[in-house]
Amino acid sequence: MKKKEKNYNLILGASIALFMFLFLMIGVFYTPYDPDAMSGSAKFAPPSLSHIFGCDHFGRDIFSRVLKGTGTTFFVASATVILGGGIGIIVGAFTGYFGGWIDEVLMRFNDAVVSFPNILLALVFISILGPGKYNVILALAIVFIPSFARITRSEFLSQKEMDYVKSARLMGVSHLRIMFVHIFPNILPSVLSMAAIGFNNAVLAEAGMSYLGIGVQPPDASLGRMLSETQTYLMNAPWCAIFPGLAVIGLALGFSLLSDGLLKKGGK
Amino acid sequence: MKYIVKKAGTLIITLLIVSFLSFFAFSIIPGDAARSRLGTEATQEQVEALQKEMGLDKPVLVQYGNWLKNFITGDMGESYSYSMPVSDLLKDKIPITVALTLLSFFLILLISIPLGIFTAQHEGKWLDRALMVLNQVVMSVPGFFLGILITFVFGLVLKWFTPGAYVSISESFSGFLSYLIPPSVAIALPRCAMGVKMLRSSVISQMEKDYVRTALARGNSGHQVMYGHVLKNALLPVLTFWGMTIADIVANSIIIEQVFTIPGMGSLLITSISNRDYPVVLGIIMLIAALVIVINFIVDILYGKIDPRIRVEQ
Amino acid sequence: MLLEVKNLNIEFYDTDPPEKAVKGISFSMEQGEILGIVGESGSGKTQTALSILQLLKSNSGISSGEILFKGKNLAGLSGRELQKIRGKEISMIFQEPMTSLNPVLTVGRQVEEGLKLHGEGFSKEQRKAKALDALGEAGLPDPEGIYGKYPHQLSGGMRQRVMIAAALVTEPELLIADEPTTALDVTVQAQILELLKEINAKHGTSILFISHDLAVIRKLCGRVLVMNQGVVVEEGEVSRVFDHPQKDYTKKLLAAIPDRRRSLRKRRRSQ
Repeated sequence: MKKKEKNYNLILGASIALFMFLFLMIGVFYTPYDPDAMSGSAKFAPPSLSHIFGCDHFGRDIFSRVLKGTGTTFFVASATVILGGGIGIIVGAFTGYFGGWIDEVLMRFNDAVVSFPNILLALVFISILGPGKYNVILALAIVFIPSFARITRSEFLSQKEMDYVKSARLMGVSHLRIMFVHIFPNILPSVLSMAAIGFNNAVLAEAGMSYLGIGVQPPDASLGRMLSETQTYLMNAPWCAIFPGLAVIGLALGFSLLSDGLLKKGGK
Repeated sequence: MKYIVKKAGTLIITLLIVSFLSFFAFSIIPGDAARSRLGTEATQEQVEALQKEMGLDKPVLVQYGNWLKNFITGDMGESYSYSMPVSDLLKDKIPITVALTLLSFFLILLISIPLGIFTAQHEGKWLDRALMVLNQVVMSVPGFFLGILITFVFGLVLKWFTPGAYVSISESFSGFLSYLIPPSVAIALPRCAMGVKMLRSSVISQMEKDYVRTALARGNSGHQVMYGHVLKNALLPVLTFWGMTIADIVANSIIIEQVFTIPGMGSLLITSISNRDYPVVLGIIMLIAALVIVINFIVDILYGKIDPRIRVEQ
Repeated sequence: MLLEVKNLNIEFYDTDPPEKAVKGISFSMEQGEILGIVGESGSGKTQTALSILQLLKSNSGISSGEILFKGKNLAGLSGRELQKIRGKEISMIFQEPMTSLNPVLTVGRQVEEGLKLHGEGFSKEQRKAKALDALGEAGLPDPEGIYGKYPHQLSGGMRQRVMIAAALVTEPELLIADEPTTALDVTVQAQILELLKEINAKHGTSILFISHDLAVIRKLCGRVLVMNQGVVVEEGEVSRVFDHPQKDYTKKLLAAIPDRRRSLRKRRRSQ
């Protein structure tokens, strides 16, 4: 019997991600205060039993705002991964499976795009599309397509040479069925790991863009925007910045650990 | 030599693709550059006259050709909102961003190489485990939040520096550099964490190679095996990562400049995006693209220098 | 007595319970002798060879026993004391000449390394001269040219010669060769065996030669140990063991060789 090492990354990552998910689900149904309600008397109230994360410069309850903001970030990141990842996986599957000149051209193009920093490309698209939640999703999704396509392609390239694919082909199974019913389940671990790291990147990118003021716009709650608004009051009310920051870290950390764990589970 | 020429060719083609795509993207956006420059009260004739002057009535390909020709000669067009040449606008900003980038990169090398080797040598021990947990956390901290934390702890509480008191190069070079240290730490730390992780796993996988056993059999100490044999091999994959890191640093400096109110290229880019000042945006994007591509080129050449196998194959 | 192994036990630790790779073997070697250890894969012969210089991977180790080299117990030495012996008094060459050399260092740098680590104050020029001599003696044409080359520019046979040159440049008393010819094709294999014989005759270097190939052992060695599943099954002069094997396992192993020859002859006749 070989000794098995526990996959701590997977356990810890899944726990943090689940915790963050439960946390934001509370926010969907219930917030202790209206996240936008201002209160002169509660201005800069430090964390206490009534406001566990304290209040900001308008007397808004930070706990409620973090709940909502985490929800926005999660929504943007999930939508980005589903949209960008979905398209990327389909492109990668077809180019990897069929090859040919389209594959050549797309991969050259991919190489050029992948070497360019993600956030900068997203900024280019935002400057064309304009800010806002849905434009951020669109911009990030477009930016993420190449990296998803690249990894999926290389997986399909190696899988299509396997015997099970060849025998399925001999039995007359259609290409599409081979690609998505036979091959896809085999590459699922690496696809999931890729999705988790994509999620992590999307969280950080959304937070960064919102911090710059060109991401999610009010009235949508946003962790990045909370950070930029309260940065000036750091000395007197550090809780205004710390809790939204921790929420971003929680989301990003959970999914990056999850990605590592999945990668290990799939055999490195 | 042939290798370098081939690489340079790819480089130029990539630059052309990136520039054309950016140019094309900006030319199809809704909203007319001429009108936005003149304001809503301008008459149709005025707008058309300006369009002609700006060359906007010609096909995109012709416009791109003209722009490219000008760009090569250093003329990046005129800013809509500042009414001055883009190159003049950028001239003062470039040194700031370059200094910030180099400083961050230097910090990354300084921290991640020793730590990567250290954690690999102590793989599985408690200190390695603790460092790897810390590493994973640092990787997930957004750079700008790290910047905010650094401002709070070292600027406001410990008063090691004065937040927001930017010193320009012309005032005092040493003052300028020391003002850039906190932001470069904020940029560097998450990338240090990635660098440590990469170098660590690269060293660990090299340690299992047969040549390590040969080196040990020859009487090398663990120290000599690491620095005489393993490190050079282990650095190869990390080199590519470092190349990508520089581009990443530039991109992240855009955000960090906002945190520390540094008037570099990043601040200009954000303002220009908000103002829809496309010539400036395009100019900055092109500069960064050129930088990214040139760095990739340098990395490729360095790679060939370290790895004799590549040098000969090409 | 040059080398004396007493009741050596080697275990793999990454299984539960630990698996015994070598179970209490003992043997000895005289100065100038060529001793062969033959066995199938998994017999523990490679583990035995690696344990002498304590080069076992971290998932395995010596659990008990003594390895006496000129009366000194190598199994009890500290890292620093071992370094003085490795590559100086005992050198080792390995099965895979393709991967056993460092790909990013020149041949010259790797052949000279033993001198740098152990040589008492050789100048740079002296080291190079000695390295060139060693390369020449290892049968490499144009040592000057090869000195500046990288491993990937050489063939497998040449790389193994480089390994031999690097191992012998410090004039060790014992050379441990772990399947050095297995990865090479037959003609190169014969040349390398010839080279080892020459070195043994000229310098009196003792050789501990590990192989799964009985034919190779027969060509080279004076005495042989037959190992199976971690124990020494039979031991003796090569001519005695090959012509009058005592144990069933040895007979079984030997049965493979004549068969092959017979079938070769048959094939030739039928052509």
